[in-house]
Amino acid sequence: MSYNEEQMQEIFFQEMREVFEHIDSCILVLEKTPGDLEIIKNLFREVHTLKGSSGVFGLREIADLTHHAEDLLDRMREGKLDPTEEVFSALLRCFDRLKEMMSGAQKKQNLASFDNADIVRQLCDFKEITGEQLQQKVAAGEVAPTPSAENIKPGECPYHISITGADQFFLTGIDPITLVLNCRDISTGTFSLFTNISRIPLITELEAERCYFEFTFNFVSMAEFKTVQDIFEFAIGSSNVKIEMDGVSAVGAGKASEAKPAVVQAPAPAAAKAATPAAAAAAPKVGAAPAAAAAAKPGAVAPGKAEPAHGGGSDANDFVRLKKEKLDQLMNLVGELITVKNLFVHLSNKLEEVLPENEITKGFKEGTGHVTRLSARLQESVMNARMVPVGSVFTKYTRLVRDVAKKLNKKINFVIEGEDTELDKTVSEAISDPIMHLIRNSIDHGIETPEVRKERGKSETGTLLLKAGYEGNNVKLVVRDDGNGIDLDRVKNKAVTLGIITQEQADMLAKKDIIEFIFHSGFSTAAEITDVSGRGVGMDVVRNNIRKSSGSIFVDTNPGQGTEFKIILPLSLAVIEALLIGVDGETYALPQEVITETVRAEKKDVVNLNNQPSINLRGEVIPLLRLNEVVNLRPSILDDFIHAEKKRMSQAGEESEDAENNLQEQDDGLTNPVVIVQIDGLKVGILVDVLYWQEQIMIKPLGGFLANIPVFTGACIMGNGSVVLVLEPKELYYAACHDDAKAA
Amino acid sequence: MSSLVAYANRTFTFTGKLTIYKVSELKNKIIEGYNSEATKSGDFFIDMSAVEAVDAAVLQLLVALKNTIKGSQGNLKIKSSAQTFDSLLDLFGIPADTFPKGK
Repeated sequence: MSYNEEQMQEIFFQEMREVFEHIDSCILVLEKTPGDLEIIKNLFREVHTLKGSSGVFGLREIADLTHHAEDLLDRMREGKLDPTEEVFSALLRCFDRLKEMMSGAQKKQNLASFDNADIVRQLCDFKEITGEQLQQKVAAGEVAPTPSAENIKPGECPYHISITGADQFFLTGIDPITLVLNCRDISTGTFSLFTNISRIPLITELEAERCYFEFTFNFVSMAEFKTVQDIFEFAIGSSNVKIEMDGVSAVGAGKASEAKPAVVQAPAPAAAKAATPAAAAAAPKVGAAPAAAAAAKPGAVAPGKAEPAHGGGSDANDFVRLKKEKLDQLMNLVGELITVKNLFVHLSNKLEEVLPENEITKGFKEGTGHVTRLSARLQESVMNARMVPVGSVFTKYTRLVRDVAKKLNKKINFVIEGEDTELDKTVSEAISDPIMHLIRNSIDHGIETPEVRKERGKSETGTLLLKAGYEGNNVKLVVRDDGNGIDLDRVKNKAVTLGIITQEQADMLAKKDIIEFIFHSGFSTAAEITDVSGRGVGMDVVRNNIRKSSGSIFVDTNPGQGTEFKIILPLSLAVIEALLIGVDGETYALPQEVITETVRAEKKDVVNLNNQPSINLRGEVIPLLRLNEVVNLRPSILDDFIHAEKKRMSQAGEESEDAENNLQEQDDGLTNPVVIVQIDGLKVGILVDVLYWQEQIMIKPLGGFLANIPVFTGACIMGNGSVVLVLEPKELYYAACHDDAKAA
Repeated sequence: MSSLVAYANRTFTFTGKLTIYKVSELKNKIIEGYNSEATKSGDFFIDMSAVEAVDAAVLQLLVALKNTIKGSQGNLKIKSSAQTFDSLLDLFGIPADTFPKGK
């Protein structure tokens, strides 16, 4: 296989993943609004793309199974099949299998080994509705079949025309039969007309010369928009006629002069703008371009709201599909540039020291300023390119909520807000699992069954909110339910049972301390282990993954009212502002975003609480972190403090007050800077030797044994070429606490 | 000139060209026939075999008749159809069982 073919396949599999995502979204939206024809059409297009593309790439088994799903959708589109919950479940089951098969195909598995007989039988066994029932559905506007996408030939355009308010047709000499025949004449393929007869009253109430019919035409034609519009020229004057041609539309009501759009352009056939290799391979087809455009614009298009490929909106050609690695590479280069920029700044400062009034110094400084500004702009642009709307992650949870709720017999209204909030792609991927765990837990342990909710005076349907928004330079994600809330007594008792704390300790715990137990590995209060949750691993994974993304999680709960999980994440992980600190002759970088302030610790401010050195900061006691101990450096700086303190205290009793004053002066030399950081809502002081300066750094991943040390999040290259380790304050803090716990 | 519609034995028998120009007349005759029937419940029939043409206005009239009969727990069935009537139903996409066949 040539390199290009491999590339094509790679793109194909990527595209198909997006198609599957969109298909799932469409089915779930459709399940809530079964009569939404736009969604059915979009779904049909996606499925058709899947079938066509799979066929082109020789995945016959996938194309065959997709064909059955497409057939079922076709029947639904034509109103011959009631869109019941069973139908949607069968469709979802089918697409789950197709996803498995696609994944198998990517791994070069033999697709014939998939036994799809049951799925096909289920898809085919749904009973069709016919005759009057169908007419009633048409009358209710629930169905309006469109020409089958695969029947459209190059050069043809699909037309959708609706006529309502045709009361004056008979009186003004407009014969609907003539309109129908004229449309049928210009049709070059599938033609269908549905006539709504539901407005026709009893014969005694009938005004015989008033037209009660409403019509919906769907057909394909080579004719230009204007030609079709001309057929309805007179009808437009006496009724509401809406003519749509693949994105172009003309609406007429009342007067003929109002009916014609100012400019009507006959667009090229839809297939001509297929954006991607797979879409192009599956062409010609209706709506290939909108589907492709939707896929190419991550998370930007909601199901059923695909922007037309013609006549305004974003064109499929506006999007370029890029491998994430290419963006990563670009980001790395920007990081290198920032390093070089830092070097220039460093050299510029040195030059200014050595040759303060020199012309070369001035020129170099000016040039460095330009490089600084340009690199900042470039960095911003690249970071923007990496940003994706969190909606692209959120949409997949709709399916999760549906399935889990169904399994547990719960009714849940899943609300998504702020799906346009953008987050770095890496961070966005990293939060996917944590959110999934939170949602599962909310449904399993939070939201009650309809019966229980009713007993408690709540609505039978619980609400689960997933919300995203910005908070300063961070993104805030909220998962909130209106269910049970966390049973704090139960959590406390479990912690005692597990031997984590004693009963006496438990009695003294504050609410936030009790909540903290839910994040312990293996901690679960669930009475039974289900395959949804209850194994006590979920919340542990949640916090670990969030911490890996330099995020924090906060929990608030009110018994009987519900629980809220708030996740705070940085917008991006790649380039950050950092404070450079020195400990034992080594320089480290500490992310600026967690730093609240820096202070100088004097020995009088250092206290020992429960074997934990702490600092008294304006009346607030903040635990002190011995950085050099955590990172396994030479004996603690704090020991110097403690040693000095002991020395001072022992001498205090023996020596005169003057001597003590002298010591005080000596001890002053031992005061060290403390960086106050806020971690998961808690303030911690990090004791360091030297505070250098603040600098923008590009974090590079660590290799070798250093990669396995969680307190280092990465490394960065400084302007002078030296390598500096970047500290992960949260891990630093928890590592320190863990060591303390072990020691205890 | 013979009447466009005759009523007997719960059957409306249509003849000739049934168009908008005759729709009011047809309506009155149909109501007259329907009202003459003491028992409104049960099925009524139409015989279209002698029909030369039907337009949309008359189709609408027949649907209105069907609605009326259905309101009395009956149905309007076709005893004998005409090609022109079947074609119109087909052209308008009205399901064939809107007027089921029956005797």
